[in-house]
Amino acid sequence: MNKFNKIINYEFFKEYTPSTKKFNYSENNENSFRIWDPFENTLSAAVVCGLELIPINKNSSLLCIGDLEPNSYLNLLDLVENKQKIFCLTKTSSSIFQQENLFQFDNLDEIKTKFSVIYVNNYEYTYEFIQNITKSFLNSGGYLLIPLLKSSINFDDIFKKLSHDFQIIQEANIELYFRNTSLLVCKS
Amino acid sequence: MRRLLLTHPKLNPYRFSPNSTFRYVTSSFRHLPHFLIIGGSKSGKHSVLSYLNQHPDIKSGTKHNVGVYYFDSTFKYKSLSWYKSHFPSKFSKFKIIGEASGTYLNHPLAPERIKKTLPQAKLINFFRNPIDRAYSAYNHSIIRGWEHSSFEVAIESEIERINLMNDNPELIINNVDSVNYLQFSYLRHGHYASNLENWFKHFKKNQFMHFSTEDLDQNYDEIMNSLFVFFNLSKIYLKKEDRKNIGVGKGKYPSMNEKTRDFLIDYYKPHNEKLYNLIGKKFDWDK
Repeated sequence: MNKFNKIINYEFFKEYTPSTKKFNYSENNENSFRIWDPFENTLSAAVVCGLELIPINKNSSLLCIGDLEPNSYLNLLDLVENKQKIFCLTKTSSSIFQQENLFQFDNLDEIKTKFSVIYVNNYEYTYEFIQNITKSFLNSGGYLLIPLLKSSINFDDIFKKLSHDFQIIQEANIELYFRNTSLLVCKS
Repeated sequence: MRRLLLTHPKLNPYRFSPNSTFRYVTSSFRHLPHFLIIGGSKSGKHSVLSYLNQHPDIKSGTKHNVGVYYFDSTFKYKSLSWYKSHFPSKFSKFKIIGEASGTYLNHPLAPERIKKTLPQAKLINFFRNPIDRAYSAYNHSIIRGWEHSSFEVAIESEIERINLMNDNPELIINNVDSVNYLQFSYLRHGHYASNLENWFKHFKKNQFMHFSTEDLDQNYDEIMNSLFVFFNLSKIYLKKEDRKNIGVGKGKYPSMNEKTRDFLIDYYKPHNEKLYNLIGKKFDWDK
């Protein structure tokens, strides 16, 4: 039996797609896997494109910055087995936030805890912003998942600073789905 | 309508070409390969195929590339007919057909897939000093824009990933067919012995031949003629050729830091020893 937080290649209509077991799985429901759609967000694209490990499991506390599709939030809830609270910094309202473990915020000042993983699904940031959020909200030994636009003029500068302040675990190339983009998995 | 046609994987008119359609339609009259060069990547495939193609009975490689990479990256999406469409027809003058996809050796599912499709295939390995191979693969990634860290940081990251995956197996994403899995395994592609053990579970040892890339320049004649004998063909006199596909892109890259080389010599020592025991041959790599 596959565990909830394990991403596997599951066969949907003769195509194998990275999927996770749904947290609201029931024995009668045959379609109990949720696919990771690579077009939805940079993390899903990285999973499909060969990210080797995803540092999110049932013990992870997660802060998401940026808008995600409802299905992407459910993917993340699958990974934490719906046992941990996921804090989402987004201004877009959605019915998905009625899920008991998803919390929507529109201001970082409202958040008082630290997290083991911060996922930024947004390109419009400065390195100062990254420094601030990691200093304030990331546990030591925690992970930062962040997309980088390789065609950006700041790319070299941000990459150098990230390599200096974090250990880069993997630079996943997601050009197939997001033009000129890599997703960096960094460890503090 | 135009958008639909352009984005559809089968209907897209730009994917159509008379040549590929003809080859696909006639695939049932085409050879499947008799031999595969399964490893390793960045280990002189282009040069080996160029020597092999000097033999009048051998056709190795395809029109545009040295390998098809069917059993690793395209196996899920393409058919066997598509694979066969890359090779010469059964009415051609060639008796022995082959291809060289250097990433097969590292792919965990490739041996099982090849066993089902080509159970009698002859399998050839060209092993390059894993330290030089890793550095060459890294520079390839730099040229392509896939990698932005220094070589030292890149291998440190890979070692950290290996440790994390050993300590936390539940974090591993089971998606071995993706391209990144092959792109960012600079060190693991050089774990020749552990990769080869997987192949020995599916194929008999007498279906393999192993050489070192470093020997190719000196003993090309001996190596190639032993391969011709392996394929039950006559020996021929071979012309010396320059090494192919070197420094393509940005030219020759700077040499490796000595400290990094020393670290990698120690890192690879146990893996190399294991390989020497496994194949009964010793290569001069530990210096």
